[in-house]
Amino acid sequence: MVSQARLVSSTLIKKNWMTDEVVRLTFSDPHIPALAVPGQFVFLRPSPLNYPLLRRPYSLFDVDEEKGVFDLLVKVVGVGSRILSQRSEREMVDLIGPLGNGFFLSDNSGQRELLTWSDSKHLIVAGGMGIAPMHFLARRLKERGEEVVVLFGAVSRNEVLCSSEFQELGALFVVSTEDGSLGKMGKVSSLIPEYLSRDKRIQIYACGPRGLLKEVVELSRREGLLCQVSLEERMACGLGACRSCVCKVGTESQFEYKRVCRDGPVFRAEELVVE
Amino acid sequence: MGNNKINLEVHLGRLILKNPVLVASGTFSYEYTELIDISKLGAVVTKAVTLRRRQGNRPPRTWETSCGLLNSIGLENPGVEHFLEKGLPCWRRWPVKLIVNVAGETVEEYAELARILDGAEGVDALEANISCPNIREGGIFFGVNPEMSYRVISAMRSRTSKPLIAKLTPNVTDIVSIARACVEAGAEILSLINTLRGLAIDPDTFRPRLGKGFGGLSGPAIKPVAVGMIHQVYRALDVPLIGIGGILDYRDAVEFFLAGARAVAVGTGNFVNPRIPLEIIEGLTKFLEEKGMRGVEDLVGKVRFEVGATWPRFPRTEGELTI
Repeated sequence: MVSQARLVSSTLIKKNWMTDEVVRLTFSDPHIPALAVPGQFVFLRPSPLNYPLLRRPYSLFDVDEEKGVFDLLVKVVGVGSRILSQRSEREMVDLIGPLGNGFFLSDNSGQRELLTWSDSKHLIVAGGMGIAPMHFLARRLKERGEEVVVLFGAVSRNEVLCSSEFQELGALFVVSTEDGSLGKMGKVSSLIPEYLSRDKRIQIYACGPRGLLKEVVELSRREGLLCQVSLEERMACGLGACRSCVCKVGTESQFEYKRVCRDGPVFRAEELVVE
Repeated sequence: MGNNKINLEVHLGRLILKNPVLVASGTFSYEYTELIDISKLGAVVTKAVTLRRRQGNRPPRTWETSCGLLNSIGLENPGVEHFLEKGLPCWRRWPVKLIVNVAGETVEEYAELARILDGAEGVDALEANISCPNIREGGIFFGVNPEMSYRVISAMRSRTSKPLIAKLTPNVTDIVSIARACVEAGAEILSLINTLRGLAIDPDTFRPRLGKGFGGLSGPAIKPVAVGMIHQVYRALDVPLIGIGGILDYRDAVEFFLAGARAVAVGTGNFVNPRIPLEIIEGLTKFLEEKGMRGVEDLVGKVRFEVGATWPRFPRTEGELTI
């Protein structure tokens, strides 16, 4: 697939703090909303100065083609995200995008396998910031009239994100917290079995911590479910040159390294060795 | 004032480049053609090519440090046959000089790579990577020893008639002794520096940040080390130098020229902003224009030290390094 990524300066037009640590940033850009597909990311410079040095990858939370805007979810975890979260509205942010391969949906590029849509049920499984690429995906699925269930896991209730945003799309949004302060107590993976139905073909889309992904991948294999995983990884070039952000594809004994930025970030569960 | 009297062309021995701005090995790939016009570059240096496919090191492979990047990729590449079949034809679609960086585990491997690539059309020069710190055999093991450096370069020299560049490691006591050995063995151009060996540790887990443990440091953090080494070699030897290490803008490039480099290569800067090499070409043109200079040659080695400035002194080169 010929990448349509561009080097652009996008204007930060809106900041909306979702929790104490997570901010939703809205950018105006004439290209990215029209080009992007769910699961893709942008690679941006938190600061116009050279510190921090490297760009940071952020999944597209959603895009609005008509308005020419796109949104990112940013959690303040380190220097880069702190600086980015402190940028002011109307500032320009230097970014490259859209990058990477998105979720495998039917499209016209010929690169994506056409999945069977009739009688499908779509389970989105997100741990924490793993929710970041899922709104765009859920919206596209709902626009096709699909059944979408979002299973969201957090440590505690104050980290639960975006429930109203997904409900507005018409998706069922189910929460679990590790401390039991909201929803079912425990890991989000423990919610999955309840939503497996025999009469519908289940498709799972997962993003979050590696432990969660490992469980989801294993469960999908056991149950023979279609499953796609979006990997989060530190990156240096974001384009495929440096080979920093590699993951194992194949089997534990016979694998090759694939680039999360270029060959992913979305992979099929059956090909991935999650460590 | 137009820029028509500025000529950025540089002659690195037999290798003539339309401008002195290159992109360094391992930091640039064909994917960059989607974002910038690579035909404007002085040359592209490929990621290291080895005789056989290399899987690379276990991740994490990079860790960002203060103004720097620590990496241990491990020369992941599909091997020279794949390069000739798939990689080279892609690069050849572009009107840009191509320098192929090669790495081996033995002297024979370097020689074999030189032989194989000697006949390859579209390869304008070879760069011997005798400085990679991240592989178990070869690489830096040659580059830290003048005798071994000599053996690698002379073995390659006897197998290829293409312009030959030796890429040097800064992880040595005396860079000049290595540089001299490479020139005596037939290297026509030297590029320096490769990464500085380093280690980053996670204070919470007590574990190294990189999967492999040690890595090589690049980026602005190492620029003064690189500029210093360029100048040491420039003082000691009459050989064209390509300066590499933390270059992010044209002023960084000018520093390297003043120290004695005839060309520069952008490495980690390509990750920061893929436009940096092109911005340097533009910035350099304006800078030369403003200074009333005609080309980069007017800058090469023109650093002005105060009388009594201190110099690095090493037993083998002390005599050559006094002002």
